[in-house]
Amino acid sequence: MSGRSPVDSLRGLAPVSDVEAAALFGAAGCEELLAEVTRLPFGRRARSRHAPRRRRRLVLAIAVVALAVTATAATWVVLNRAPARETTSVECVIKGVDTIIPSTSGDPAHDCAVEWRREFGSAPPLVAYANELGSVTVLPRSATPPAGWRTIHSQDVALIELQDSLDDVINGLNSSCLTSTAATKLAETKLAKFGFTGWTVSVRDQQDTNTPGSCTSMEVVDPVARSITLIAGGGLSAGGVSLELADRLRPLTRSCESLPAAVASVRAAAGNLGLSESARTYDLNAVTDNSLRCASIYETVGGTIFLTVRGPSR
Amino acid sequence: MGEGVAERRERFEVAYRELYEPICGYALRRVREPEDAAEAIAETFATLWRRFDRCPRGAELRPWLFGVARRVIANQRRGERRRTALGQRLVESFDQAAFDLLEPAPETNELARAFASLSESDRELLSLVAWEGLTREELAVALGTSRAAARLRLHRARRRLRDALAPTQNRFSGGAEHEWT
Repeated sequence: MSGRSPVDSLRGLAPVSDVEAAALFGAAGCEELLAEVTRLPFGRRARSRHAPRRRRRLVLAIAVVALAVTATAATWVVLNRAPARETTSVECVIKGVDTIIPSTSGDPAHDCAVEWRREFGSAPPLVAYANELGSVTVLPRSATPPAGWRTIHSQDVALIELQDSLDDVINGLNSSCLTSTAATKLAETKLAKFGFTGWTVSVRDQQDTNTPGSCTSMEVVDPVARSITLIAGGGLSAGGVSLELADRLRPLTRSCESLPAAVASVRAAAGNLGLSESARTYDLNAVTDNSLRCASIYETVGGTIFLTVRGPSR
Repeated sequence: MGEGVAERRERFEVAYRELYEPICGYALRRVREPEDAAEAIAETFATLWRRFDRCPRGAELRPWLFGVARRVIANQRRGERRRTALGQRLVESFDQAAFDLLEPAPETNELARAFASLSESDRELLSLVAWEGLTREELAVALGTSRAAARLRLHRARRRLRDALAPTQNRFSGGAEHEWT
């Protein structure tokens, strides 16, 4: 053991080998994927529509029907189209690379510009479009959008905040290991807080989510069906420093600060844990919202730690 | 001027067959649910197909494709879980019973605990080296960054792993830093 480097030892932690992984999907899966992919239009993005998990069977059924009709790439463009305004992510095209970012401010071009600046220090003039799939794509103004796309200036801020607050590690579904009952209550509270009435909250796989050790930490927000579907996630999605940061930020969410003060407090808490914006161990988005009396702080995790602070300018 | 449809498809098929196993491995090593892994694999190869005229050729293609898969999975983790017919068709052939029989990686030793305590970006960096076998140069391609930046990030990730292993690091390194690539 003493002769092994850590990299050798890390190899032993790999949960599955390449060969095993490919075998699990089967030779037929490999061949079918090749056939399907090469049927896609070449050189043009043929996106899939974000489809909630609970609609999987329906999506599949319709996709199969569509396949029978057209047998083209259009078969994997699916369903449940919400108005682009009622989406909570932005496809930000940066130097030809598509990056899906969570919506933050409600102005998709602004959110994309923030991502540009993080990557390159500056952003060109940008324009947001509702694309043909009902989601939002932001392109440089110099780029010509495909036919049928129309400019869009805003997304539903309340919906974005609802999504943030549900995903939140500080006080949301990821703040502790919630049973389905507790998660349902929390989701109902969040809906009421952000003014969503007439919505329903349901739990997928209900029988699994009240068992000890099983956490309900994921959700699908569907503005068309006006529903939140909670999903058993098996455990907290965040860990280590993310949870430690959440513990330190939680007291701040109980105080009443302006946006600048809250941002300073968040930066201090992150800095004390050795986190750095410049190293992108976290991304901080500050959103001025003078309709609020006190700043809200949300922490979500995925790739890095996303911190969103909304609040009044003073 | 350009290659024909048949030639392009043939060239794509060669690349696909060479990279299918590594991309399946990459996805399934990082994504717990087979449905998400299938989506990541499908989206990665769909991206390769769409960009086949503009993506790197030769030795750079493999790390570049890991970079694509990395972004796809990062988007999934940001909440963009997609369910497409393409991914669904792949997951339909998934052998769940065999997957359940795979021996889980040890979770109790010091290295596993130290590795788990790192940030996701550090874990990804180290995994690209340890699991995908990328060199520093390939790491830069996968991360879409300069070699110097990749080297610096790797150095920091190694240091943080070493710090996390502090009580037991002599067992691995004898106190000296290892070359990881």
